[in-house]
Formats: sequence, structure tokens, C-alpha cells
Amino acid sequence: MQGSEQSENKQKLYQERLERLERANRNEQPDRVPVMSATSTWAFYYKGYLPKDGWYSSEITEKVYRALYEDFYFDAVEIHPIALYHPEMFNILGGGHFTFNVEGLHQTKSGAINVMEENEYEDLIKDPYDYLLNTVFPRRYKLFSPEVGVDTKVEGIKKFLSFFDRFKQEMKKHNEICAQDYGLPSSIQALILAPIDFILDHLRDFQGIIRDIKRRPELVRDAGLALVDFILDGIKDLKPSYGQVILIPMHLPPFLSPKDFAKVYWPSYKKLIDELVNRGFIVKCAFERKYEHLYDFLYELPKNRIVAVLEDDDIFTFKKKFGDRIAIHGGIPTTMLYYASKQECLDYCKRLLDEVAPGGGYLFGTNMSMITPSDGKAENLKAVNDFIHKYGVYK
Amino acid sequence: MDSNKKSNNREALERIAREVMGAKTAEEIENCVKMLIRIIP
Repeated sequence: MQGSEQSENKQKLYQERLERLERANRNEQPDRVPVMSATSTWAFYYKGYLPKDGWYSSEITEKVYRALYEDFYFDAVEIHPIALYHPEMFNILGGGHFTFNVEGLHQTKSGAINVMEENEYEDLIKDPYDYLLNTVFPRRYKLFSPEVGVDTKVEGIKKFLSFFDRFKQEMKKHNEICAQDYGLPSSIQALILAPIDFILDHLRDFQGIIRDIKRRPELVRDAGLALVDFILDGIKDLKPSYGQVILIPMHLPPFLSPKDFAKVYWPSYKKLIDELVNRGFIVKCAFERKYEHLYDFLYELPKNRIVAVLEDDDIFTFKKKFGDRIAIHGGIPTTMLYYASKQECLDYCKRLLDEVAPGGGYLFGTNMSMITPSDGKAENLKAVNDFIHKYGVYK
Repeated sequence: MDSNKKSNNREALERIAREVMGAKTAEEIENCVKMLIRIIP
């Protein structure tokens, strides 16, 4: 086949897949069930490398994702293998709440998140930017401490930005290769946090925020509401893009009672969702762990503008309850991909096609990102993706 | 923390906004400073 003809075919494939994603995201019936990739750092192990090998080599990173997209069927890239964080970024800043294990996977550093005092909610509410810059950063990073001169800070931030730029270049290259060589669109336009999860993940940690929710729930709620604009500022120049969604991974709700969820988490989360939907975005909420105790709230989310990534909730029950209003992403547990036989995986996929796919609004994928080798056997991943691609066709 | 020390962090980000990101107006500088605060993990 001539080069130009191949290129046209990839463009056609890319457009077909975008159309497939758009319809599924809108809870409509596309031509077939989209097969989504969430093969994060798992891809390095698959190709015989460790995630840290990608830190210093763009060539290894490219080799890894090319192998992934050539060896497995996908309709879209959801979670890619390129690492945002590099240990040197944190060396430059002098601290932080992330660390890296020997293989190069970033982890939360024990005890390092809680840099906010319980009596500082009013400062956060008053001005989140000022509070972060002048209270949180000096506690978290040596570079931002009062003792460091401004010239040193400027040089340090420049170095930090060079790593950030490198990530952006890697992503640009990855997305161009995916589109041109594999006809693969990216399904995520941007990733943002729900406001209360921002407080959990970056300011108070689990013990802190749970204590605050019991002792000062109104202040936690108001801080969440104050952070909605802060979160939206990060995507203020973004316009809705065909086939893509805004991803919100959700962390705290599985640990909250319905009463505390309603009082503290829901107000800012609902405000954020409504604002995004008003701006024309479709929002993909990664309901991490279990949400069954909060299902009553989900009926109040905008109809057919939400895609739910289900992690530990029963996908078949969810389809029966919400199939007329929320699209579903997920299906195959990573534990099944690793521990079950190929036939067991295929039998489960058949059930997904029989019970979750009908009517549309279904995107097939793993229930969570594949990060380590134990998140799935390659032969099982290949088998289930091929199966869904072959049989997940709407007549 | 006294106000002089506070302004040191702000001053550093404003310099980055002007010298690296090419911000010129007060609004451009403010937007760059906010963006920098958001991307620092």
C-alpha cells in the first residue's frame, strides 16, 4: 500500500473511532463497543523494561507504547504510559509528597501530604492561590522557604519547568504517533480533581480530612466550594472536543457515609459537574472503589453527560439502574486479567456484551489502570480486546 | 511568615511569568502566576 493511502486509512480509522467514542460517551449506541486502553506503566513491564527506564529515554518510551498499540487492539488511548513526574523535579523543588520505588513507580510519601493545619480552612477559602504559594509551598518545598533568595527560586523554577516541558513534548509526540501511525485518538481532554479530593490528596491527607469532616464540616464544604473556580481555572481555555471527555478520578466518597457525602463532598462536586456540563463537556467520573451506598445521588447528575468508570461496583447492577442516563466504562477487573484463565475472561466478556452493551453507552476496558505486571497477563488482555472488537458490534 | 517573605515567592513567579513565559500585562502576569501555582504538585 502506498504511504499516502495508508495515511488516509489511518485518518479514516481515527475519525471512525472518534465518532464511536462520542456516541458511547453520550450514552448513545455507536457502531460497536469501543475498546479502551488503560495500560499505564504496565506497558514497560510488558516490553521488558521498568517504568524508570522511560525517565531518561524517549526512545525506550516510544518503543514501549508502539509495542502496546501494535500488539493489542484498542479504539482509544485512555491512560498512556508516559510519566508526568520525574524524581529530579522533586529534587529541584526540595521535597514534596511523592517518592519513587526502585522500579520507578511514584508513590505517596507517608506523612508528607498533611501540610495544612486544621485551623487554616478560612485562609484557603479566602484565596486558594495565595494560601498555596505562601503557606503550603514553603512547608512542602525547600525552594519556596523564606530563607531562599529570589534568584535561586527563579533558577529552580526554570529547571522544574524544563521537566514539565519535556513531559508536554513527550505527550505531543505520543499523540501524533498514535493518530498518524495507529489511527488512535486520545479519549481524555483533561484530568481534574474534585475539590474535596484536592484537599485530601494535596493538603490534609486521609486522617486529617476525616477528622475535619466530623469537627468542622461547614468549613470543609466551603473550602470545596471555594476551590471550584481554582479547579476550573486550569481548563478555562479548553473547549469541548469531539469524542473526548474531562476525567475526574474520585477518591474520598467510598469512605464517607451518605450523610457526610451530602454535607461535605456533594456541594462542590455537583457545582463542578454542572459547570462543566453547562460549558458543553462530557464528564467521565472514575468512581474508584465502591459507590453503591451513594447511588441515590447519581440520579441527580446531568442525564447522558456523565460516563462512569466502575472499579469495584457491580457493573451489571449499575447498567440496570443507570443505563438510561449514565454511560459506563470498564468491565474487566485487572485481577481477573491476571488470575483467571483466558476462557474465564472470555466468558465474562460475553456476559458484558450480553448485559452491559445493549443499547449503547458502553466503553469496554479494565476497571482500573494497569500499573504493575500483576494487573494483567498479556495473553488475556489480547484475548479480551480482540473478543470485544470482534463481537461487540451493534447490528 | 511576614509579608516581605511572602512577596519573595510571588516575585519569583512573576519573574518567571515575564522572563520565561513572555507575559507583559498585569493580567497576563497574573494568569501565568496562577498557572504556575496550579502545576507545582
